[in-house]
Amino acid sequence: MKTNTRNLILTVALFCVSIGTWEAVVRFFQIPQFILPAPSQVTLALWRGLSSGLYLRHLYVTLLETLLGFVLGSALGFFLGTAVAMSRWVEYFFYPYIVMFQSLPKVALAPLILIWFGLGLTSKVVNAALVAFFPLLVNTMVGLRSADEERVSLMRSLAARDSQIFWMLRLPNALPFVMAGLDVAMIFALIGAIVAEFVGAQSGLGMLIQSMNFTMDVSGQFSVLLILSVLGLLLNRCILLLRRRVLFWDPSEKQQPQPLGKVRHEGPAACSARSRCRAADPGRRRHGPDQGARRLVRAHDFRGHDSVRHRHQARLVQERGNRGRADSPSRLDGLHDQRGHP
Amino acid sequence: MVSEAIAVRKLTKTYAARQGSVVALEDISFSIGEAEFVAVVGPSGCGKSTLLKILAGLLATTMGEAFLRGSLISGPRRDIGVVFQAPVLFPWRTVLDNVLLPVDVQGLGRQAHERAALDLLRLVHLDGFEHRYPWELSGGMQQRVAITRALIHDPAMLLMDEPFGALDAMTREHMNLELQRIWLEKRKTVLFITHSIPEAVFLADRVLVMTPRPGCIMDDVRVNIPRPRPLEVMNTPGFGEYVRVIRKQFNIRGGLDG
Repeated sequence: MKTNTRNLILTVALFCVSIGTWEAVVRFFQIPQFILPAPSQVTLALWRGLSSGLYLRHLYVTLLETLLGFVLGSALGFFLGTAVAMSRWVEYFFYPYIVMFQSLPKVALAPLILIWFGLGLTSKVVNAALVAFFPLLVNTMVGLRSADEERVSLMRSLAARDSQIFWMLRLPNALPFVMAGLDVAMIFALIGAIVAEFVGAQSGLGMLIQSMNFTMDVSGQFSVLLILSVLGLLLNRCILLLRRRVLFWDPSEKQQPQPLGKVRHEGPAACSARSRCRAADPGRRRHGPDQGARRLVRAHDFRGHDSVRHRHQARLVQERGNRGRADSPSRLDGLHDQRGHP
Repeated sequence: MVSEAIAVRKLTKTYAARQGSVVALEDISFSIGEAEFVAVVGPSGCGKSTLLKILAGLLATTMGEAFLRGSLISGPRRDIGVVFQAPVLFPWRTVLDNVLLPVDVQGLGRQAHERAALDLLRLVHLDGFEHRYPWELSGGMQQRVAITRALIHDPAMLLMDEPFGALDAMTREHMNLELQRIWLEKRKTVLFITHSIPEAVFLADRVLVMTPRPGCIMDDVRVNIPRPRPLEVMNTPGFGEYVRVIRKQFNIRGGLDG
């Protein structure tokens, strides 16, 4: 409790100091407003935009585009991913095209999509969906395929039909992957919508940034960026909440799962097994386990999920990297050009 | 002997490999009586698990055939319960739902079996845990859930593939006692695969001894120790003699050391 309060105070102090430094530097060196606005100016711009209702109107448009694109893209990705994972035939004939499509920077498609779907909402939704759909496709595919062989054997030994194996095993097993995919897809959808607005739009926060750029309203741009980052954060939180609800059974969703303290028959043997198991865990992440520890972990049935987690975290990292590439430096180049003009 | 529950006739299984084929099982024949507990011991890679998979209907035979209560095993069937080395529980199902998995898969009617599931959980001393999730349980408890799941649809035969191989030594001994108790109560036909000779002798009415690859049965030892067998039976000369006789066979073949 005490350290919590201290940390809170430190956090607030750090925030104040950095904002204060920023303000002081801008004032001291008299940096022009169109290069780096002071925090006070940004706050002022934010207040003006919010109180006039201008930001909210555009925020609504961008939010709608993002959510529609997210739903559309995720649904498409999920069903395509399922089809590819479940049918060798679909995989053989369609997957190469899907991979080719993915290697294409979809941001580059935005102008084309604008020609096809016009300046309105549709082009933004389509662009957002296109950017958002791939993480879900890949994660669904990998998730459905990653069902533990032994679990599949168990289902088969019970004379389960393929459809039962899908609904009772593969689908729930894929959920951690799907949720990780949704996590990425949400942010991707926002990127897709903003990029499409940059290319051409009548409203939306991306369009707002663009028009502010033309009028050299840099503090305005900063304030919109602030709104965008808060929006991204909130959307991400929504997915996180959904994920907690859906994956209530996944131990890695909880903080440090505590196996029951109540041991009825194993006595000390089980306790030692468990503590050894947990002791083995961090080592496993770093250098891989010794044989004995792995067997114990197997017995605890954590193995499947840990590896799932590891794999999809690796995937996340990879995709975060892609995302970095997605908002390519071309926009920054554009900014430089425009700054050079006047 | 009582009527035959399992009959295996001249069973051979070969796997296709890059260089020719690998013979996993060669010309295996044996039979198991109704309500008999038979253990199969053998070194790693002698095809024990292959044998179990064939009996479970998960693998096709190359030659020969296997019968369960007189009917040919040609694919997965509903009257077999399998316990694997890992508990293989579904983490999104509670303990009770895990036990009821065969009921759900085979559409046997949840309501009719829920009572039975709770009774079985009591039998394995897991009453009170039915609404827990697998990750809340220790390894031994999880394996007991797996055994319960294998019993819920009242199968004709229980196939156990090194079910306690992943447990530590003390839990394992305890689980052996538990399994004997459950077996004495339920009297199922059991085929129990293990690489531990003492475990096989402790649990089984008969021990089938398998050779290293290609796996075939080199001995069939009947264990005449009265039940219920307490753990202390392991320290008796009679028990030691069984273990010694079986181990000697491996030493002759150079299959196991010690």
